Amino acid sequence: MKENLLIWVSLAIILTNLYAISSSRLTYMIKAVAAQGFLLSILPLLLINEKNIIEMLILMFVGVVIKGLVIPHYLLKTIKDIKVQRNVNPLIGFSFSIIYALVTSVLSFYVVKKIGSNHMFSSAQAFVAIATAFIGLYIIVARRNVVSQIIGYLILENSGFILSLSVAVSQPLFVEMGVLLDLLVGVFIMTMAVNHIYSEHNSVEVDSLERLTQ
Amino acid sequence: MNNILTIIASPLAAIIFSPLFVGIIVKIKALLSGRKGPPLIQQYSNIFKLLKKEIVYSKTTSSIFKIAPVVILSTTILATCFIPLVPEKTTFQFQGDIILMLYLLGLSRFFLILSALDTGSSFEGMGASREAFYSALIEPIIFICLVTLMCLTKNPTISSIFDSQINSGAGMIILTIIPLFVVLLAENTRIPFDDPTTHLELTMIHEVMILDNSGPSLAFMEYASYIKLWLFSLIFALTILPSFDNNILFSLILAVTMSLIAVFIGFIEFIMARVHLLKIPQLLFSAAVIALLGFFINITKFLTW
Amino acid sequence: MTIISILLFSILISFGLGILFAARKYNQKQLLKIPVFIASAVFILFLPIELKVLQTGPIAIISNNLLFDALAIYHILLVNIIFLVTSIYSVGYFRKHAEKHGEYNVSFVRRYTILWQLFHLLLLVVLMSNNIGLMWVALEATTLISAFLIIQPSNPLSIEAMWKYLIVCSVGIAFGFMGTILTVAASDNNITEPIFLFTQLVEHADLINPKLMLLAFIFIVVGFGTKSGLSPMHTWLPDAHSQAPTPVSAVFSGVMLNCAFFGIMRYMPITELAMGNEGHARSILLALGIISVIFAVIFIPMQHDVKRLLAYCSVEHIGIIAIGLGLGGIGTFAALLHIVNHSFSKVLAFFSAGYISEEYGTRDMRKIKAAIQHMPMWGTTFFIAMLILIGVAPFAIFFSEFLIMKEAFFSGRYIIIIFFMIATIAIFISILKLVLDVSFGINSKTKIQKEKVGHIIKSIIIAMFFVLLLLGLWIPSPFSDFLKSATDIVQNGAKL
Repeated sequence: MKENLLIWVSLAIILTNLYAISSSRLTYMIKAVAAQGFLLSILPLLLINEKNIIEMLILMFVGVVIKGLVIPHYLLKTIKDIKVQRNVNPLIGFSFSIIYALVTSVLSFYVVKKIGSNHMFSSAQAFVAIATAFIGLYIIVARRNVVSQIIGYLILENSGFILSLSVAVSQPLFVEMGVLLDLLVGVFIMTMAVNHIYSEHNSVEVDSLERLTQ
Repeated sequence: MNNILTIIASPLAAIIFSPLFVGIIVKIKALLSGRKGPPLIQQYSNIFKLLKKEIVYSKTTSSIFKIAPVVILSTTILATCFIPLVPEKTTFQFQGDIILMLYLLGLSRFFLILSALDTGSSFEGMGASREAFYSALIEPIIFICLVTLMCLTKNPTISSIFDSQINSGAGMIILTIIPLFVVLLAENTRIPFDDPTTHLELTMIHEVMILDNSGPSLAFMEYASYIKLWLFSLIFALTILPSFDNNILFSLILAVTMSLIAVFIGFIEFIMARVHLLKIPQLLFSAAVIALLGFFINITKFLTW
Repeated sequence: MTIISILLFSILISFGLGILFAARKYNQKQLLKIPVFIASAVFILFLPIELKVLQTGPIAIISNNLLFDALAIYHILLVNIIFLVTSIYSVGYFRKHAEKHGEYNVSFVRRYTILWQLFHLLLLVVLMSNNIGLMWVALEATTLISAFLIIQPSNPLSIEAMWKYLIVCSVGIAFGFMGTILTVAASDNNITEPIFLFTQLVEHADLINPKLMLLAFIFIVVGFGTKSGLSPMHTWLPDAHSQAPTPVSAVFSGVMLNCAFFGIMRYMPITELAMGNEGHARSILLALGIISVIFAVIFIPMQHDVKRLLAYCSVEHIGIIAIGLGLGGIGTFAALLHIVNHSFSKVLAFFSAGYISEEYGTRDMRKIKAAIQHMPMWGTTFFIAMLILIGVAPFAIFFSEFLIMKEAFFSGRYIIIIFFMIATIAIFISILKLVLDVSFGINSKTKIQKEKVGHIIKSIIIAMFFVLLLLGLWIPSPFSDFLKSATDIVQNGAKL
């Protein structure tokens, strides 16, 4: 039962990745990341055993609040303040992005199968983590908007979070909290930086940030 | 007698119940809009009314236009023969029958496009080109989904999908089920791919191709579309239902599931609008990608999840 | 043990006080003096800990989550000295900047001061941590905190530099996170609980899964290497170092790169031990070091911004440190020695470059001429610091590079020696040409003003040059023993 739920959640996460990579509007990408945050926070529930109920519940709660609510809300507010262009104007078009998502998901599946499952991670976790990491990287690189780079970074951190969950079982809670806090502070600082960029260049396209070369 | 009945049960059920299926959809849409809506047997009345009317053939059409409705209806009914109503009671089954079924549907679509082009009207031509384009995207999806399911049962007949329990990581099937549903909506020109109730010709896909049909000709076309909708919903329902031993119980559950699917389709038609025409290929492409993902993941027989 | 805790607690308190004081309503001059006090307090408070470790060996506290061993103490001492020196420099630098461009506004200086002290604290936490998760959290935090130190109001390009720094380093650190998780996964076995402490990882190295550990190490090198300036992840370095205010650049080059590299130095012996000392981990570092030097060789001749030149110089020297570590043997000792050499000389170079660029109003070296004639103190400092950086004997950098070549020769890696020599000679020539143009020549445009240099900063500069000369000629044996125990930790792992 737990395994099936794990697989369902993993697939749902893959689908949110596809959604984030294929949407052409920032608001949808943020919603996809928020949905990912919610799904991620369900994962600790699946790893509960008697020893760590409290820790897992705290992790789940904090995860939902920070990843699912606070960060997306803050990003949406920033977008509204900046009045950014609605279309993300991707460097690489839709079809290629989706094919990339497919190829990397299948690749990560086969890689995980090759490595074999560790006693620590279930294969589903490793597979979803690697696939999500690929997609986060792609979004950072292939989108022309500075805010979408923040979103790509969030997705990358989510993939690390998935990997770290099984480790979190035996780790003192404060490191997980530290990670989440880092993420939160990171997003705040990045949005402050985006505000600076906007007030300086009057746009949040990456093209305006290409004056330093060599 | 019993034997003959069970053998032709599936096409018979398609013929009898498909207008009811569409009637449920229309009724649900109406109820959700706050109207009372037409009675559930309205589609039957429509068909009978059309059968009594006179056929008018345009001067620009040829014999193709005359035989197309017949071909379309017969191939669609023939296609339903491959899907069992009750497990192990398929009308036809043999190895590789999936190809025949899909090609029968392809044949019906081919004649639909031909008859639309035959009228010489630009509206039908536009609908024909759209239909051809979207079918190029849709058919691979359904092919991949059914092949994935067939590979899992190791038996290359369609009905084996429904007969045996598909043993895979249970969650991975969802990657095949979602595209199946998308194909259901797309192939039968439901929202979000095409609005069956629109009256603007420029936005139609399927409706516009049957603009010039009248009387019994139109009745056959409409009936064929009902049966095709029934066919795809039946495939979907049988995929998501596990198999039971008791046939009567299974039929009851199947009936309930089909009604639920009809309600669900009506609900989707209610809450969504048609997707922008240029976005339809993207949507279909995404569904194809998901189906491919499901294919690659499921066929590795990675049963150690 | 408890004395250590009291000392650490008081260090924490002093940082807290520093931040609190910075939040009060002072003017710019007073604000800038706060880090000087705090840095000196921290420096002094750390001395007893350092002496204790030198005498009695490694100390671990807070259930072994913090570790002070020779390697950590070495870096901590370096961090404290550099921060102290740079804080003193900041006072004069901001005053100089105010002469030319008008004062920075108070909120900028306040933010600068607070972030500066947080940065100092977080770097110390990175160096102290024995817990791999804590090290990661602290390193990520340093990225976030130092990002806003890069922005200068008078420099619009600094925003671009800051954003590049933020994104590249955050992505890098995300990889580092995966490396951390993979390390824990690699240490997973049926005998012990999952391991989170470096000392325990070294202890149970035979139980670690070698393939997974190598994969984890690759992620760590890519991740932490991004922050420490290894190519090909160094792309943020030239921008951030050139656009930031000079004290910040000095601290980045002199300290932050080393702290990130410290992380790699903690992971390397574990990987080596887990893989049976076959040298795979070292080869990875060697390869990346060579790539870094190649990038430096390619890009240095193209530079005309003096601080960008110094940034690429940092890339080169980090590459040299990586090569030293990759060679092993004496190379490790040389790499550790190179750390302090590079820090001191780079800091001096940045100080003088900062003053010179402020005086001339531009960072473009083509427009700066006759620096020695115009500004005797800073011009000479720049000239000598650059000479030291490119490896002029008998100074320290020449000595550590020589040791590296010696190790390469004796271990039979002749190709590396040839490459190394060609690279250093190429860089020598390109930088020497640029530096000669800057330092000498005839400058007819600006009038020669009397240069005012504070006594404190003058004595600091002379002291640092003296240390560099000393380390080049003869390493005093206490220091040499100290470095040898640090080398042992890098080669064989942190032990309690």
